[in-house]
Amino acid sequence: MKIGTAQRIISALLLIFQIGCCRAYAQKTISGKVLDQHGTAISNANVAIIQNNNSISAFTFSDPDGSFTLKSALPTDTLTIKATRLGFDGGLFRVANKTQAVQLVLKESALKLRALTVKAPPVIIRKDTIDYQVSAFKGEGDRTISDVIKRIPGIEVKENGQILYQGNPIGKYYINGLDLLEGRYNLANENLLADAVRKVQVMENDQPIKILKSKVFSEKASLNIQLKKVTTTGSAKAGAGLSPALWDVNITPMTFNRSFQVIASVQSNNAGTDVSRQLDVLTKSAQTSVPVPMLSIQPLNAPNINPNRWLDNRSHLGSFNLIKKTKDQTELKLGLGVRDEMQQQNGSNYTRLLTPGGVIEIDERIANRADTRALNASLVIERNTDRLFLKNSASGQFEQLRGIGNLSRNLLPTRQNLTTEQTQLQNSLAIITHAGKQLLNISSQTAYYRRPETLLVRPGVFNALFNAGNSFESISQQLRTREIETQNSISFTRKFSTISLTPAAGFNFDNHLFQSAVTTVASDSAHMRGDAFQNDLKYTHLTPFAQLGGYYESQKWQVDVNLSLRMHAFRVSDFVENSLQKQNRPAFEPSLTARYRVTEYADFTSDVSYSYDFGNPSQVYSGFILKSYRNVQRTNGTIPLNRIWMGRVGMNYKNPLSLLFLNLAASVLRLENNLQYRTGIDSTGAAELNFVLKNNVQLSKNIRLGVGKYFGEIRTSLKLNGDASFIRSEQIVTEREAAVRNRNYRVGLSASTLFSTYLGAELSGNASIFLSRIADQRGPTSGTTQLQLGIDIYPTQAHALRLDAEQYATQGSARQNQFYLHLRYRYTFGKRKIDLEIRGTNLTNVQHYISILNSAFTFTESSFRIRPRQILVGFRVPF
Amino acid sequence: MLRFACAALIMLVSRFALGQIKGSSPVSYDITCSYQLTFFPDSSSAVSKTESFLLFINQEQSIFKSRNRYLNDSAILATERSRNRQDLMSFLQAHRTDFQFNIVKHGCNAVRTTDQIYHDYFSYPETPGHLQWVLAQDTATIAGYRAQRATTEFGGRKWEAWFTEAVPVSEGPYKFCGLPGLIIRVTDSKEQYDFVLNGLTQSRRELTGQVPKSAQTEKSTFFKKQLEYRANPVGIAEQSGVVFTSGRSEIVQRVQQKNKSENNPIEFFH
Repeated sequence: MKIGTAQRIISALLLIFQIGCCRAYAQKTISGKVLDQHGTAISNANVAIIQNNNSISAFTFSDPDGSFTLKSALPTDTLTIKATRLGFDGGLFRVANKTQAVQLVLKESALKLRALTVKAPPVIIRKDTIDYQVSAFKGEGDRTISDVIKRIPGIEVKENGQILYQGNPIGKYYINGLDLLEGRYNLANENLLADAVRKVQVMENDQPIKILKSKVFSEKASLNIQLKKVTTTGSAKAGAGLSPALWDVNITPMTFNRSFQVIASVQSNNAGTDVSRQLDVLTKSAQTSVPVPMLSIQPLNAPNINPNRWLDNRSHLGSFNLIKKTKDQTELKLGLGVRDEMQQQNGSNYTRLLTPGGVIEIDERIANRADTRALNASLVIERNTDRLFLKNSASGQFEQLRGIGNLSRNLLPTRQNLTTEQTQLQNSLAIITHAGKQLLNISSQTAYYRRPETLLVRPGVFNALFNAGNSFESISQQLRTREIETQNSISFTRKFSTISLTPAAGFNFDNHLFQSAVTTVASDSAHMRGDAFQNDLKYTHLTPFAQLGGYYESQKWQVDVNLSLRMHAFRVSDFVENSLQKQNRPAFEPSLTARYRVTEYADFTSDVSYSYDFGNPSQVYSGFILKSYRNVQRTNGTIPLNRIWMGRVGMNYKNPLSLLFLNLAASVLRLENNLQYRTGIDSTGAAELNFVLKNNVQLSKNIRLGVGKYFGEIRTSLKLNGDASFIRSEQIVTEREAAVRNRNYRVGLSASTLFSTYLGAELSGNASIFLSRIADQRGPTSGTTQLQLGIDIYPTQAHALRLDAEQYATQGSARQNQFYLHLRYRYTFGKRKIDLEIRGTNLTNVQHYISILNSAFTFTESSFRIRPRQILVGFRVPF
Repeated sequence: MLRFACAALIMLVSRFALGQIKGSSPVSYDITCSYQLTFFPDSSSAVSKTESFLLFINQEQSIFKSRNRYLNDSAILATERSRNRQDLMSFLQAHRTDFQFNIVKHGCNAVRTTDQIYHDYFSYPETPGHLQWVLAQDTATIAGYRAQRATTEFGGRKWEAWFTEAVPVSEGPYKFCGLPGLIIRVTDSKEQYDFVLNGLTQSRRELTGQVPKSAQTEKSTFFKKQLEYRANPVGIAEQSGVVFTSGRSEIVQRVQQKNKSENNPIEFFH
């Protein structure tokens, strides 16, 4: 025994010595056969000698007859031989370390390999297209695609739902390549389930018109939502809560086929969800602008926080959208929307005005209610092929607003009643086709608006102006606006090697009719006020124009030049004063856009332009108009003339490997106006706005920076954006001219992380400072900061807890600091993944949101009653 | 004019030959691996490219090709006899690949490569024992598998491979094979070509017509012919009957530029 032990120790020592020194151990040859259980030879099996550390020291493959030969140089007594073959269980065989023949028998089996799933990189860039894999950015608690898009680097989502890519709004929102919603993309974005989406694509410089591809440059980026499969999806959500009694219902089914898509939605709530945003057009289209309403009930400043926190509403919405694409590339789109909504605002405004006569203070308690009914319909026929682009879209909107404003000012109650009805009809047609060697482009738009407005204020205001200084019972302002506008153009594009030229001609015509009258009631008798308080105007504006566009494209450069010559002919007939004003004015408007691609990842862009603006018809009324209970306005009847110089340079950088997105832009805008406004404020704070002829210059500069970075290993995305703007304008202050300088700085930082499957966090902070200076005097300074923190906790798969904390602070001439807390618990159950949600909002039960607005001459502190502490329980069923 | 030139160029450099794959009997594979290749086509530039590859394995054989080549072959097969050529062309253009080859291995001593020169397919075998592996003892975990290192020299480069016993097939990307387990990563010493396994699924998959009909030749002949083509692609295209009515000089210039920037092939053969 003892000898044996000694021998072993010696042999072990020898072994160590031999391995360490020269490995001069005699080679042994092990040969044999690999067979299956039935004795059949297994060819091509892998036979290997395994060392103690589990690595392979020698290996071979069996011949067609199953035989193999292995040489072992290992200095051990026994060897471990491993034989493996696809379709068999791996066999471990221990044999003596000597030259010998062995039989290795393997058992047949279906070997289960450890699968490795392909993880597509989170971002892929191909030429101008960027693919974001939804799986890489989706958080455990994310339900809709908008939740995911918010996290994507390079993309920013504004409060109203508008999506920005590298700081600029996107041009199109496609789903599987089809533009179903024509810009009203909130409906899809906020209801489409993230689980149904494979990837979000950004197409930079997307030219949606096929016939123009590589002929006409597009600066716009488009977004495409690529679904996992052709599917019917959507969700239904229903909830109820207290107190007062709350409901929140949203049923949104969707169908996406290759050539057919439908999104329908029925929504109703009084829980503060703003449904109107789902019908908002968020892409800028060439549609003519609607004249803005003139009359209003004295409003409260809406809080600059999520509307869910303050919107006191009762809203109902229905929407139906359909697109059908036929085999010959024709698309038919139908959109219908109906909205019935009641909104209330409660709070108070404290305003301090600096006037030549001293400081005026206005203290208002406000309770407003607005009932809105809106209906819109649109029908689009589009044919988009390589040979022809044809698009006709017809749409109509009708909106009825009834507002009641109960206001008490320094304890004096005032009642305001506003009625507005707006009808809007539009048709636009665009045809682009080849005509010989050139592209022919015809476009025609026609729009009709009609809007009667009535504002009744009781008791009467502006006593000096309307009733010789005596108080009176009520005043009523009636307005009627009607407008027909048409824009027509024809152009030819011809390509000469790398340059394409586009001469164009056309005309715009605007026929605007405007009537207004003021009625006062004093001692129970109504009086129509005289000519100074009436308007009856016909304003026509005809603009024939000719323009020449040039476009150059090379691998590195894209340059677009536009020279346009417009002849503006105005005719203003004032039937009250029986006067006729005619004016003709030529306008030469050149513009230049250039883009230079430095590398695949970086490019520079720049725009320069010079243009004219002639205001809108509402700037030529010469009779007094009571715009709100403490604001009366008249202009001097002159057509405004603004000259606008604009310059912008920008830089974009995106790196898909390091996932860094960066954009930087600086712009200068110089406005030369021929009119200057002068505000007269009486001792009660009622404002009288007059325009006077006086050339003045406004200069604004803006710098903007955006950085987005994604850290893949910790699934964290970081976004930083900031801007600074400087505006210098000339105003009349206390009868003297002075330069007013405003400076605004803003910086925002947001981070969202999904670093573990149990925890996710979002943090965003925002700070802004406003500084102003009048002549050489420092004006008021104010600053606001916002801090939001959201934490998601997923203790187990089915449970999710979300905590939101928000802090808002204002510094400056008034200070405030507010803290909000919200909690959401979600339990997911069943095969269908039904969510049960319990939501507690405003747990700290903050009563009012206080916002402070400063400008050079005014200071306003608004206190807005927000939604109290509330609990809502709801279900969400995806389908 | 320019458009035509571009189209002609695409035809020339991407070398899609339609209708080459005739229906052959389907082969079923048990394992599908995908690899991501990161490579530098221009050795003088720091710009890398990536491309995905697929490796299908069964008991007897394996086939290795770029993912886009696989998609193209499948699309061509699916649209054979169909009228919709327009869609196919746009599909092919959207799935371009820098690697046209198919590599079929019947064990590591029977490796046959089918590759394209202009519109013609050639196939050639590797010399048996083309890879002499030296096993190292270091181990590491790569893509979740325990792997062991091995080195070899091949095609004018020194290669370092990591293989795993956990997948008992003597297979790997490109022409690499012959190790006692699946190669999950293989990199050349200059780090100009780097294949990494990024997916593995074990399920039966039937593939048809993955290897086009080709002329059998020797490896040396193929490389010689390829060199000749690269030197004068326009001339060879013209020999085969293509007539450039305009823009010839432009195309010649572009092709030369492309050749200049693709100076770093995966394999050199002397």
